[in-house]
Amino acid sequence: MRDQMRLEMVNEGRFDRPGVSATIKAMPGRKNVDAALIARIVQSSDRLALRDIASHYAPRLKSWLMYRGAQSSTAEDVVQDVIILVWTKAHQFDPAKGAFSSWLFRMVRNCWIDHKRKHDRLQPTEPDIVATMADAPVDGADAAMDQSEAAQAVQAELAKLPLDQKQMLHLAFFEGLSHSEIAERTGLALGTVKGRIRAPLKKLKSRLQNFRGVDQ
Amino acid sequence: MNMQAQNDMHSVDEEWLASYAAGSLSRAKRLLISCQASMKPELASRLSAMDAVGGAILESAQGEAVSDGFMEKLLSNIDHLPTRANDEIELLEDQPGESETWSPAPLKEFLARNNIGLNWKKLGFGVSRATIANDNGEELYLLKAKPGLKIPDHTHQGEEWALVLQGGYHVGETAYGPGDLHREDENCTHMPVVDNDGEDCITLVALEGELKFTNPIMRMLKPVLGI
Repeated sequence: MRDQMRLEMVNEGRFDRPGVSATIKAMPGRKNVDAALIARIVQSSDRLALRDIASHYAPRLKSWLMYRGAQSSTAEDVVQDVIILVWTKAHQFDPAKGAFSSWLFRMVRNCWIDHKRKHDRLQPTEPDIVATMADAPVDGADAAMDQSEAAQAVQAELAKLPLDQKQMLHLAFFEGLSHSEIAERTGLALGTVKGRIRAPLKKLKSRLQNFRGVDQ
Repeated sequence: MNMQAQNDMHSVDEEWLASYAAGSLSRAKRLLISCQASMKPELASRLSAMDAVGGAILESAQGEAVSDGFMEKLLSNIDHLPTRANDEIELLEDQPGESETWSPAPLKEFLARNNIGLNWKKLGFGVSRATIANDNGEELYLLKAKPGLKIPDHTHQGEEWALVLQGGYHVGETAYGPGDLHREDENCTHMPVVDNDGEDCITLVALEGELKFTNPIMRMLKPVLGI
């Protein structure tokens, strides 16, 4: 299954020294694999399909959570919550609206926020399912947009990015660092960090807009 | 820069949106972004692009091995899910919210979920405020101002984010209307003037620290007014 990945970023150390960075290989995407697995869950409650999804994503979700300060056991509890949501909400996933990984990324974010909220005594507890769904931003009004193609375009753009930009995106979206923290970690000027994150995002956004038929 | 988009919609910098996507924003700021995304498809598409990036990185990032027995626990969990249908809970999302038509869906959901009713208090000078939450010194509240009102010159100790839900206001030449998110930090002194078009201006505000008025009379009145 590992050979289905489009990109593989192997963190060979921290990004705080020149020359020490992530290695990234272009590989086939998981998008179709994931969509097929989800379809099996929807159609026949296929436990093996869920197992395949979990074996690929659970370690990555756990890593995402541990970067946010979760202990190993807490991170695994939240990952359980996320994968259970994949099982119970599989029928809501629409491959035409984007990649499974984007859906999963939103879910882990929301489950983590929910977990923190429940364990923060200052704040009221809330039904997690509602919280999970409520935080998701709504999609644009143009439901007809082929987001599936857009998702592929995003993957393709991402694969083409220079290494330094990919590293910045990894630090921002996976490790959850603010731009200032990234500047501190890498020793780069804050403006440089902002530029390296903004540039690919602008490109990706404009690729998405192209699919919506929006004039640039 | 995409100046066109910036002119069309006031929002926060990409950095803040990236923090939203990474799950690092405070509850109040997150709600403002969710509300703005529900009002501005342009922002929703920017956030979707970020989630696509986050998802693509998630697909391929290096993982942290899960403990032995993780998979067995997972399969056992799905065999023992509560019988209560999740759909039953989701109905909450679809129930008609308050009669306030200006309230975007994420705000209605937030209020319902946290069982918060809006209790408008008049502060005087044609301004009312409804407190929503205070998380570790970050206040979240709604502010309603009469048309034509000039909010006295003020600055902030921390950041203020204000999302216009209804009506609008100007700060100098810059106009803010429904769906615009206006961020001010401690370096800005500003005097918003509410548009005089017959409609109350309602904003959802996330404020760190306190307002600091430049006018000494307003400074004296601040504790009385409760702002």
